[in-house]
Amino acid sequence: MEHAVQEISFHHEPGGKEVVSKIIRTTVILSVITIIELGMGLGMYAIPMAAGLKLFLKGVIVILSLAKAFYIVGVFMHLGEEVKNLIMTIVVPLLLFIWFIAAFLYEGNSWKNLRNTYNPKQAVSAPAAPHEAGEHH
Amino acid sequence: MATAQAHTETKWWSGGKSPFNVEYGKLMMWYFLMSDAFTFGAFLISYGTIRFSQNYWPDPNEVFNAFPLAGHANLPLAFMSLMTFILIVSSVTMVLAVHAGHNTPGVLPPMLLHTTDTMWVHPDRLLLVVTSLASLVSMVFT
Repeated sequence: MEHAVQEISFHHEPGGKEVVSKIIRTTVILSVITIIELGMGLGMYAIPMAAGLKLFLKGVIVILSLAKAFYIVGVFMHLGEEVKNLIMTIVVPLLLFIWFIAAFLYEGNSWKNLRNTYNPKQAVSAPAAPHEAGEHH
Repeated sequence: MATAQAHTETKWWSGGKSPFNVEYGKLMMWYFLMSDAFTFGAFLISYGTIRFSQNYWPDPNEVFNAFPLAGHANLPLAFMSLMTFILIVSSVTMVLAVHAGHNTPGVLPPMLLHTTDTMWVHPDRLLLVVTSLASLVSMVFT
């Protein structure tokens, strides 16, 4: 009933030097992370190392990339300045990617195993032979 | 005044205010970006599935080791890194351009029209033009 209620109170950017300096600071952070990632990638290529260490470096690169995504989305795309409800609405559905990646890596692994154990000489046309036990080679 | 005071005390979802505090267009742009992330995530994950299902895969360091105008020099991932860097810088220049556009009097929305009471060569307007051009160029290159 009260029409004087302001429905949306847009917060405009403060404007001025601090915004530009924040952008430049973020750019520097992103550049440093990128250079570190590049160094690790080139190091994996140039220096022979154990497989475990390689896997560790790959994990570190993934985590640093997530940090970069956090800075780009939060600062450059201004998601960090929004209401927490909006941030959660956008970010929480992206957690589906955890299932997405895990499920499809599982799928790729199964695909590889099936292809490696596939024998064209094997009778494909006789699946209805339960007493034959031809599945387990 | 009292009602306004009362309305600031209400919870987000009890009505009387916009729970997300953004314009319609911005909210829909965020929903579009979320669905866009899923679309391209599906592309990348299907690529990863195919790659994971292979016994052998070419080493990207060996395949992408060329650089434009560098001949046969062995520069693993150099061109890819340069493009990634240009991509990041393009978003930086885009942010700077939007910021300069907000700061320049008379630029948004009547673009470059009202020049009567502002300087034509305003520093923020110069920044706007330069950063817009830079982000355009970097988008074209990536």
